[in-house]
Amino acid sequence: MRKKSKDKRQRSQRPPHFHIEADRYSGGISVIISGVKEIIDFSDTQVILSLVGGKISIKGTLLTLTLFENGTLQIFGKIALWEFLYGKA
Amino acid sequence: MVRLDYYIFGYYKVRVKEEHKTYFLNESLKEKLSFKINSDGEFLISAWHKKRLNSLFSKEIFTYSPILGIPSFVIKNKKRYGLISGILLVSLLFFLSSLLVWDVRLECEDGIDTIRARELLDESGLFVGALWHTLDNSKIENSLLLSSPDIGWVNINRRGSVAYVEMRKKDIPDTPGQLIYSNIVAAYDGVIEEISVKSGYAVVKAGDSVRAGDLLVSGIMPDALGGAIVNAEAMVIAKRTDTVSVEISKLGTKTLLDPPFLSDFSIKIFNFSVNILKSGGNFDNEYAIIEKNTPIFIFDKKIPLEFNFTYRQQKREISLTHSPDEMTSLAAVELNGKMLELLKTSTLISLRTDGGFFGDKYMLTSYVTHSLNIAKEVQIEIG
Repeated sequence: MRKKSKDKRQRSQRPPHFHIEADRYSGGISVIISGVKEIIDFSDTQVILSLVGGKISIKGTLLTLTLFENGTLQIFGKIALWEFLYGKA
Repeated sequence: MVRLDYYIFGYYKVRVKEEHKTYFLNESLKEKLSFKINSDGEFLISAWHKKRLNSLFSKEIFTYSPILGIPSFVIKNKKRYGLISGILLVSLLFFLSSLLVWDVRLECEDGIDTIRARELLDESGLFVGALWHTLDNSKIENSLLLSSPDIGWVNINRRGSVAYVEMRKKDIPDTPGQLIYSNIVAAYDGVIEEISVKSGYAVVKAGDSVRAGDLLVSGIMPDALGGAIVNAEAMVIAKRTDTVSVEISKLGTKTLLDPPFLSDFSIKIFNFSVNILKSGGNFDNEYAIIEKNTPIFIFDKKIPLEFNFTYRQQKREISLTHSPDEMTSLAAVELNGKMLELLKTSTLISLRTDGGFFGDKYMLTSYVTHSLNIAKEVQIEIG
């Protein structure tokens, strides 16, 4: 019984999973990502982020990054590919 | 594009040195700062955010531009009172005048009564002097389509302070001489975004929510329009959200194939087939089949003789354990396949994806909002 409640407590303390939302606009694609732990790389053609539960790599051209106060990140540009990767930063 | 409040209250263009870019971004993420940065490390900040930035980071990692926007202009021209008050007055007049509709330019196809069309526009609220913010173009277009029997298509565009209205005539057959009469119903659930009727009577409008099977365009015209029965033709674009989900278990199976063996061999002469070797047994599901036909050529001419070989390979399923890396990539590939299948006949509007490990499973769920033609023709049974 005690073990069960411990498990439940651990589960509630676990950070939320990542969330991705993509929208198409006339100038390109906007990808909004929450649950970002770290920005590993940011250049004109690639953004690599460490998320809760894995990594994500976004490739394209003319990429810009917008940080929001709630820790959410928006990547905008001509996005060609995104890949889910596993592994710690 | 610079934010309006930045222009009004002043802003700075900041450049982060390349070697400090990743450090600065991660620290900003932790400190919950908000800004838009490009790959050169350039971003804009308001005058009050500059102080916070200076308190959090060393000044050495940035280069600042002088203050930009209206404060910069005011500082340069602070003693020219006439110029500044003139600009303010003109801006105010310009802003007030842009709130009104200055002209309504109507272009009608032959057969539409222009005077009546203008009256309908007035009744809908689109007239010279109306306030732009009180007008909803889609609502006006729909009310015109529903209220006039002649109008089949309406488009209202705003250019500056002028409204451009274009109208086309509805095709109504004079006599119901067709053999097939049909209605248009919804093939799927959705919210209608656009409806263009070629023939028939629209019973729904943009913004309406419909369920699969609901009547969209009636093939039976109302009494006011002659009461004829027609073959309804329309394109109804609707927006709908579907959920695509994949789940990859840690424990999976993989199919391995044994080396092939010759199970059947036959010779085909003209259209007759002679079996030389034929293996017995049920090979249906457990074996993969490879068929090889070898025609015979003599002096580059095909003769009516052909050897047919059939090879079989036994399938063996083995269980394996996926690494987290494999689970994520397998889920991404599977989700991609499902997404392509879903978007074969529709256009993607937006996509939300959630993913994560749940016990021994990795789950990816995408909420896909897409638009598609939901019009489905259903024949009207008369009798």
